[in-house]
Amino acid sequence: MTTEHPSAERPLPDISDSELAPYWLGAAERRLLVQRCEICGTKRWPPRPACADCGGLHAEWVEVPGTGRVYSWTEVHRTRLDYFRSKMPYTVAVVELADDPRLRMIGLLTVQTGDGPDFGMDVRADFQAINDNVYLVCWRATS
Amino acid sequence: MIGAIVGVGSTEYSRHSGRSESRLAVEAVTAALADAGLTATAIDGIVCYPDGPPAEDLISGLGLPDVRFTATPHLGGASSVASLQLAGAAISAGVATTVVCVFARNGSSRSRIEDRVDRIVPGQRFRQNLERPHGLSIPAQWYSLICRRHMYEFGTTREQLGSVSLLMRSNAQLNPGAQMYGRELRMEDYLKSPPIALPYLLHDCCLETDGGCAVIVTRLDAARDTRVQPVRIAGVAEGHPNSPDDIASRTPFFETGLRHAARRLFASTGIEPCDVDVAMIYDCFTFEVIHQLEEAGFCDPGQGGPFVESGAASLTGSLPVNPHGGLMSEGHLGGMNHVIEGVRQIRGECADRQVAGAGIAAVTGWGDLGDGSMALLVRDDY
Repeated sequence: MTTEHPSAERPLPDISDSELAPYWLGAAERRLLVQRCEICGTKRWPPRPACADCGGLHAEWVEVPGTGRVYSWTEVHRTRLDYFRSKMPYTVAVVELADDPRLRMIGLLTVQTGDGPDFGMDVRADFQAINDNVYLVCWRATS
Repeated sequence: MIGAIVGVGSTEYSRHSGRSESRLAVEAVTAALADAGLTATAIDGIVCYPDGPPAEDLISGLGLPDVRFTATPHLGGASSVASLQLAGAAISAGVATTVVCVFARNGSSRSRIEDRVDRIVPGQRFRQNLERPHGLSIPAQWYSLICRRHMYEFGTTREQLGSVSLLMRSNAQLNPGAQMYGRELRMEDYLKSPPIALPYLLHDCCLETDGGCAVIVTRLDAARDTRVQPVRIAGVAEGHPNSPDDIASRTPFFETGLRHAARRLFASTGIEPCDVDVAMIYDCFTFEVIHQLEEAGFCDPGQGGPFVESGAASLTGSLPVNPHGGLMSEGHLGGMNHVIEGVRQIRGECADRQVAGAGIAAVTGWGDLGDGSMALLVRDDY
């Protein structure tokens, strides 16, 4: 179950996907971007074709502070993704953004202290370069 | 609703069927036809299961002369119960008269969940781009995020999760057809089972199973002429949570489709949660049972754990849950086995695990990222 797969490639996002491309461009500049409705101003994540609040079809991408709090997490001991087999166990968290707690993001979480993650723990976006073009938004505890 | 279930059937439930999913589907339908005392020519409608054998395989496999209605719901594990709604709608509209709902899968020997999720789960843009690069890719991982938050907000405990697992296993000891028949489970076994996606341990997860199930729905007036006592479908509903394509951003976080489905269903049937005699709850994982007991209105929010731990969900409790052993211990037949158990409980055919005098059965479905469905099945003379 914990066999090493050194050759396994990391699953990569498609940074050319039209609905997410601005997010990836921002991440490559270490900026965290979300959509904001141009009509009513409501921020939303993940990106969606229209605003669920007002139906507005036009959205802009705006930067939000890369700080948040741990809302929930899982510690993964079994994966189907070969790349991650040698990384287990690893922690994936749901993070609520400090800027707007209605916005929650998924990402790998690193906690340096011994006790592991906790609810409400302060975290900061950790833009990890996967290759020249892809920067993943992971999270790191700031305590 | 004018529909009734007049026949149910299944194959054996195993780890390796040694035959095709289409063959399993045909065997299950054949068994259901025999149960109903009908011939294949009576079937003029087919509701398939997502990623399962297509209707064409049944038309050719069973020699159905004139199928007039086919459909496939797309609610993941909530599809079996939702298929009853499609069948009932087709019958009510006069599009078909006798509809078979079919599940068949070699879930153990061929199509594991790891293979299925990329085909059937919604929001693949988010799955592929925002989750998989972080190592998140299967239901045990997604749902454990909800479970952990529930443990924090409501104090749901490890032992309460374990009590769900033990209940499914102990019920299966009364069901010779269950995959876990003859294999008891103690709390210490549960607690030391290997971690999968914490808080989920191995014994928080359901089985993967090879097998097939079929349920035949027809008009209530026609049902009264069939071989067996018809089981009336008092009502069926499906529901979808907000953000049905993404769990992390769901607000409120614990909302499920079942919340909406159950509210509408109880209102439309006049049945109340306390009227239900036995409940089949879609037990893909332990916490999903606790969660759905709350979402369906059988418990207040946060009370699902204490409810199960108190014994209320046991065979002698106030609301027996999954007498057959569920997906966790009878087998993972996409919840169509839950529909079958509901029918057999109402018909009083369940021997050692029979809930005495069961007149109203609730069956829930949970699927994909929180879609829900629920049926209320009642004895015809009830």
